[in-house]
Amino acid sequence: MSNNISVKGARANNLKDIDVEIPRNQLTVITGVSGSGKSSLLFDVIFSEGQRKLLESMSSFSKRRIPMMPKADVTSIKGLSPVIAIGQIRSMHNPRSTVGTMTEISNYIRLLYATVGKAHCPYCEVEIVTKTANHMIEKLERLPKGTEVELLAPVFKIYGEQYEVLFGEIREKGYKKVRIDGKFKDISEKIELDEFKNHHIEVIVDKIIVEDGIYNHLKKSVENAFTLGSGYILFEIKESSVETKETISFYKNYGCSDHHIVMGELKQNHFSSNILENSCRTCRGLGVRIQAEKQLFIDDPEKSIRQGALGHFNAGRRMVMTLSKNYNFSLDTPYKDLPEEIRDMMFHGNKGEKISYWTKNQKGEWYESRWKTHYEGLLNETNRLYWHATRKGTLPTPGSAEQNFYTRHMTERPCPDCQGKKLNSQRLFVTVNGKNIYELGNMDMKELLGFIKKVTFEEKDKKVGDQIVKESIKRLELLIEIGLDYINLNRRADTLAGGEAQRIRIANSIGSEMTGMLYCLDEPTIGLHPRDSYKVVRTLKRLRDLGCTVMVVEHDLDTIKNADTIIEIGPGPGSFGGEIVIQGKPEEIMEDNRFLTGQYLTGRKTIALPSERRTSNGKVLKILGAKENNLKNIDIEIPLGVLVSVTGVSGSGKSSLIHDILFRKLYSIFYDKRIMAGKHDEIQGVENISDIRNIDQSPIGRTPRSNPATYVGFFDKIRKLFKDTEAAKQRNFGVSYFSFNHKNGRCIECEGEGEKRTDLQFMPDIRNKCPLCNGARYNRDVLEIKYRGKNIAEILDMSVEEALEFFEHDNTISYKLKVMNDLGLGYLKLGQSATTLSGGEAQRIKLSKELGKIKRKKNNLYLLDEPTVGLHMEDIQKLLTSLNKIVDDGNTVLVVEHHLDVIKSSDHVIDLGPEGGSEGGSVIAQGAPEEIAKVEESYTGQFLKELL
Amino acid sequence: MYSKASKEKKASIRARYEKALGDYVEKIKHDPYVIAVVLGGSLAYYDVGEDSNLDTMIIVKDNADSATHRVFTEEGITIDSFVMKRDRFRRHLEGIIQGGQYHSFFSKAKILYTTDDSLRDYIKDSNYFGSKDREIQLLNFYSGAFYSMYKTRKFLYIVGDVYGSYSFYMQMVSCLAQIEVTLEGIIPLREVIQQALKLNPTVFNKVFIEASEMKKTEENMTEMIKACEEYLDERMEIAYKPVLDYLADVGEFRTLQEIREYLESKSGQRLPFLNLREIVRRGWVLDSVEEKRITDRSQPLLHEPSFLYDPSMVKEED
Repeated sequence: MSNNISVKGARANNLKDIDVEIPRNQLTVITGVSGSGKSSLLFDVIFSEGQRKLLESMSSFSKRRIPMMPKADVTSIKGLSPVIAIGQIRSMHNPRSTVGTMTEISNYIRLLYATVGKAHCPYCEVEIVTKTANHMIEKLERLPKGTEVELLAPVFKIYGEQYEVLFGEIREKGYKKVRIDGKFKDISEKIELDEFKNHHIEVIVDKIIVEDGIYNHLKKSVENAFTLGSGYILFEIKESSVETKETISFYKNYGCSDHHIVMGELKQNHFSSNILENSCRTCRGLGVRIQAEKQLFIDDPEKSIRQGALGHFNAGRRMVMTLSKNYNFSLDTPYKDLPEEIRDMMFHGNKGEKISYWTKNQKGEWYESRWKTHYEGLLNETNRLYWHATRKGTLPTPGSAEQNFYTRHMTERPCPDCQGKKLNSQRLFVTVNGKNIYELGNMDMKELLGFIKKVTFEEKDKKVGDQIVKESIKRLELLIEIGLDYINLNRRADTLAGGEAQRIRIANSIGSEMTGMLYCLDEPTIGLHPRDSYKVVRTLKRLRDLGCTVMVVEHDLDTIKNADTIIEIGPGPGSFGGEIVIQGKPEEIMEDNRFLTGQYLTGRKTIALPSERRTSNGKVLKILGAKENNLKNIDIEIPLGVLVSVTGVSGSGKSSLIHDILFRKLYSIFYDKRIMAGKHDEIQGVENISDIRNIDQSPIGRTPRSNPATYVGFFDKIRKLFKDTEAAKQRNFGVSYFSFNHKNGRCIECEGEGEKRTDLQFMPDIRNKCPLCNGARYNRDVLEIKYRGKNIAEILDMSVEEALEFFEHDNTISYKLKVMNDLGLGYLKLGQSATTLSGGEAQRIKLSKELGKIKRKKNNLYLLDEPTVGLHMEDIQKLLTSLNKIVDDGNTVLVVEHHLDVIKSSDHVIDLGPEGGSEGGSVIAQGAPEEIAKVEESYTGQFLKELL
Repeated sequence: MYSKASKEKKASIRARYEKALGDYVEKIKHDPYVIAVVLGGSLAYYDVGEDSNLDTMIIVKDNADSATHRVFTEEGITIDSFVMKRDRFRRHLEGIIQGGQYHSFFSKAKILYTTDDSLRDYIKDSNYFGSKDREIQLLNFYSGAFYSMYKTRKFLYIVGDVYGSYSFYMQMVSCLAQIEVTLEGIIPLREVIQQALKLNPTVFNKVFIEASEMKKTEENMTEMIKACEEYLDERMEIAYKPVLDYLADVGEFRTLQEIREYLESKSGQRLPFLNLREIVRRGWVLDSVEEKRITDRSQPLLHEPSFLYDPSMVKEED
């Protein structure tokens, strides 16, 4: 096998027909300024071609079922092996996906519980044995002939539901006899029970008279009882039966001797909350329950109820009129001026008080009827209807009017039944070393590892048990090694940061122990504190040592330094890049002047410290009593009018503080009150800011029809310029003619997409330039209109830099373009589709949009989560310039950041820690970077010390 | 009264049927997969006629498969056999509401053969008509009675077809008989009118026998309808008690859909034709409307009837 992967003639995106040899079985880092073509080389050429070739080798049957990839724009690639890309995509929106399921550790833990879990009696919690169905049948068959045995299944009602409903369910499943607190009842009769008492209810699944040849129906009945009793089964020998040694000893050493309960054999899937039989019946295994929230009903407290203060709950409703007439309040009083008890009654009802009902006659006039009623309240009513629909399985489809109503007025709260544990109580009665499976999932990785190591097995389970322990330990150690020691298995996948998810996938790959693979990684150190970035490097080297080829797009200097081979692509972004600037081992090229990154690595080039620190404008924003996740009831003071960095190792609580509490709270104040902030007491000083802006890395648009020009907003202006040309006026073309989305202007053949897709069944779709418009996206009439010699398609094809020159005379457009250029986006094409932009690019486009309109507002608070992601040192300089500009205009910029160059350039640093997970969540240091550097306990401080 | 010859003929037919059945069961006994044979229908109920068939149910082991409905013949006699696995049979028997059609098969059923004595108890128990089941069945029968009543009136007064009206009238009488029998805690059988005639001869002689014999005129029909209305009125409060109890309990408006779903969730049974028009007409409950959409994706709001009941007020009126 060749020792190199040799790429010839790579032309994807901005790559300039380059040839490159990448050594196999090495750690190769590809670096270069943003937009230089690093990702194009690694993902659009190497990964995409590797993937395509692999898929092509499959049968045409499989090919029809797998979306095929287009051939990469490259002459040839030799020496490829199966390729795995581990990117930053945060696409896991499934609330059922957790760290446990992602890492597959959950599978092992579930297996552990199925193997050595100790079951407990649901009534007295005494430890009981588990038996297989065959075991039980054998035991029953050994009883003297003629013995009457009843098989019962203990059942529990749904939280907040009546016993009657449970009986209805039992009946529907085909059972009629139950035993309630020891007394037999027929549920075709009415049974009155105290709803607030916990009754022991057992369904009589079958009655059996021991005889020969009952094996088959015994088996069926035992299985039925298992299903109904969620694994628990109860045997009762009828008193009238013959009392022999066997019957007397039946209960001894067999289940709970008081309650005669045995647990059936446990299987791995018994502990999966995604299976309805095991999940909490209230939340169906989600751990959260949707509940109506009072504040979401109040549309505008300044308005009266008649004017719609409470949305649909307005004067037209009979109940509103009934309440108004009975409790003497006016429907024209602004909601906020209504007495507290009236407002409370709207939401929580009138506590059962009988009031006369008001209704309308045929002429539409209100009159007091003879009838009395009471009112349950908006919240109770909404909850009742929603939960009813959930149980019935008749929830409205997403996007429907009803669903919209629920989304607008309800939020997620921990499930009141299982408190977020997701499993039903029967499953939680099973423990290993005194802990149930949920408690295990809540341990952080280190604690869990310690726990698993201590688990011991009986001789019969040893073979299976040791294997489970071995596999779990291996995976846990990998996760700890890669710096994820602070997360736990129950953590929902959709709450993971991109970097965390990526590191989990890296750990999984190592765990798979495959050799000869080709890994393509995109900035695996994102979101890691400099203290921990060596862990990623160490892991990547392990992957390499397994016999894999590891290729990484990376800006982190530590990782670059540790690579076996460095490839720098550049020299500039976009059309100025796309060439191999330098390639070689670190020691060979470090001193080479062409190696731009090397200049930063060797310290020949640095980001300068600011000459002086700005001082705050005297106002502050205070977060008091922050308690979300691992935050330890801390108080934070954010000085306004300066650049503030929030730092700390991963998992120390930065995002909980800034995103979950500060952003969500402010967003709910300024925009959408449905947003629920994380746990905290109070935020003071909100009046000191005029707006909140979150500039994250989410895409600016999900369709190819969105592009930087439309997003930043100067495309309208450009279209207007075209509309105002003489030629357009003559033809009576409005602005809509210059949009490739509008039927007036777009090419009729490709409908404005610029390309035609041909579906070739099991071969990849082929995208060709549209034969009619030749990729211009507009129809011929529109393309004939020229503005200063260029038509609209030609303008969309310009880079930001070119456009800046072209629109020099137009202040509005050129100002926005200049801002983009200043942020290092000069290489982007105006019409580049949003789907091709990286997270970092998207963030900078958003930032430039903000900067573009900065003059209009003052005292804004800008929140940025790791804005340096995807940025080369060169670009970080540009970013800092822009951030400083925002601050100098009177705003406050708050960044959550690990990049020391940004931290050292901040005016104020808030360092959280000391560690991640349960050991984090405290404030370690606050103040100027110099002050942080003096704090011994601060990891950030220690790293800063070297830079200051 | 039957003549001697006719009695003898009947006896011989019966003997023929019994012999056929005996032979049939004998053969089955050799099948290790069969647990029980149950006889229902004519031979279990009354006498058989020359063209009668035999209705049986064969209960088989849980590991055996068969089509649900099989037809066999024995000495030229057709034997309809429903084949069920033990588990399915048991759950079907316990799960279905008592008083329904399926149930009447078992109310007089005889076990001809079984290897599993526990089944005897199950069949015996199936004759038990629980109070909750009675409540639900009464509501069903009342809804059926009102439906036939509207149709009877429509054909009589609007269409002007007195015979068409009479055919619906007889359906209504069946419902009345079901109500009568259910109120007595007895399971309504196929011959429910005969059951009712025994229980309440005064009413059912009039509405069934007299009505059958009378001349079918508008006047006569009107009189009969009136008698039926009176019958229904007298028992209506008992029949609608579950609905009134529920509405009294919540003390608020509930839509028809909500009331039905509540009753269904409580009983585990379906109530597709619940009719509340009559209790509104009698002023027992107040009706209003709630705004609802047809499908969850629909925009236009339609009016769904909703109901309120206040027991204290009804008492005051009394």
